[in-house]
Amino acid sequence: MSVFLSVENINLTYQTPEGETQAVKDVSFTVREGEFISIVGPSGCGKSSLLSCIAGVTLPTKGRIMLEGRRINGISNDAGYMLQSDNLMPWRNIYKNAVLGLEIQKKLTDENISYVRELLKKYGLWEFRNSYPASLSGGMRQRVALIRTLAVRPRLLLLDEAFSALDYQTRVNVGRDVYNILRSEKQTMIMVTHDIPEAVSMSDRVIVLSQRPAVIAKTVEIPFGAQRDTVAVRNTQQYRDCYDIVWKEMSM
Amino acid sequence: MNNTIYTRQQYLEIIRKEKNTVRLVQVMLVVVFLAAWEIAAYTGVIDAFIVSSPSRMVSTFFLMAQSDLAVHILYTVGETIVGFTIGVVLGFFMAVGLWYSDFVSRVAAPFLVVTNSLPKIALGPVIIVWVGAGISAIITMAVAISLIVTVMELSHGFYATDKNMMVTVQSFGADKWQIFQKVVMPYNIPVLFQSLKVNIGLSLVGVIAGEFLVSKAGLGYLIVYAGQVFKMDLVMMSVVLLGFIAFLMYSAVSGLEKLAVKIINHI
Repeated sequence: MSVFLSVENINLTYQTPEGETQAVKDVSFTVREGEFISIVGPSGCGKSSLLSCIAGVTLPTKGRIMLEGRRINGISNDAGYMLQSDNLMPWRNIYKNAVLGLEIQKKLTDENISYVRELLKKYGLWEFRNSYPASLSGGMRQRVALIRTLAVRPRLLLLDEAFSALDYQTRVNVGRDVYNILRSEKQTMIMVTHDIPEAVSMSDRVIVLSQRPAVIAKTVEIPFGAQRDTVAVRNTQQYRDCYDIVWKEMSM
Repeated sequence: MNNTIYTRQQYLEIIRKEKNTVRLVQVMLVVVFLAAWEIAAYTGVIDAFIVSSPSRMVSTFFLMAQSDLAVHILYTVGETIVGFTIGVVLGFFMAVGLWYSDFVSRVAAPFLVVTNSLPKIALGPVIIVWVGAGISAIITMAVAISLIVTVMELSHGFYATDKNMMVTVQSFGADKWQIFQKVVMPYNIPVLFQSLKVNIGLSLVGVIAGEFLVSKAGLGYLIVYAGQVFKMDLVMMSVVLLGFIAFLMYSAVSGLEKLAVKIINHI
């Protein structure tokens, strides 16, 4: 498969009145369409900064990011960005939350609305469409947030510690839900996490970053294939081997 | 008290009883206070000519009610509502402006702090000279007192809006106005009402202060006039009436808040 996304020699330096901080240094990698990538690294290493460059929220100091041959230089509708916790608006019902992105982009067409309805039905939220976020479980809320992101049909999904606000059990289950939904919608995903089990169980490749300024310390191929159960794989020897490699790399 | 609650019924019963007890004690406090006041005045322990008494206030009220008390109340309430509305609307737009432009907000910050701490009543003579002695001066005073507080409180709320929610709409490409519309405004409905509740009281303060300075009608006028001619019954009655009015207006805003939060915010 050809290159879908290419991150080329990304450098990111932050300027503050106190001085400058280099967050990311010469990071390059490519992603194929439909691939799931995890970026892990010690906390504060600049992995979130890297993701916000790919999202176009931050512009890199040096280097470029190409998505399907087009250069990312600003917020575009190509990338769907999901942040820590679901960020649903408590004053909007589930349906209204799901169409928020379409509303902002003024794309509330019949076609897009029926796509949202279809997603809500497919992922068990249709009967809750008139409920408010406060009455839903953490897992359901995360699914709504995902549908809100998918509704605008992004080419690429970016998850920044998207599950870290959830308790352990919900987190594992939501991870499986999100994995299955994204695979069945044939999405390409890059996620940033500090949770090694999450990275190994949910992706095709794990990119380990070093301490700040972040450089790629190692790339680990995960051999589970697309049709996997992200909970069940955690009991395999291959999982433990991958986990150990990532763990060792991060501890260095 | 036993902390173990056995049934739902028992629990509700305890809640109800506690609520009733609080209410009962509140009523009793008022009754005891009024009775003590009345008895002290009746027996001559205190001078009713100086401190009035509940019965004298009641008879003054009925006497005044037959003449022009309603007009005075109408003036004060009307001026307060107009001043409150102008202060809130103006303050809201100023706060939106400050939120919209970081530069303007940073430039304005020290001026806001100074204006906020300035006792607005000191502006009384200036206001009279500038807008004329009359209702407009009273309303201007009410606005002067409530405006800056609204601006400060609202812009504080706008700045404290959940950052992640804002980034979420931004990631969909929302412009600044859309961020305000979709996140900042609905997020700050409780803050808005909090400031309304403070402001209705402040506007009343402004109106009374204004009426003290220039007026031909209103409860503030009544208090000043009655004080000068030593009609303490009328002064005290007007003060009590003001208390009632303040309470009623606050309750109206508070009721509106409950309604709005229910309809808009679903919290």
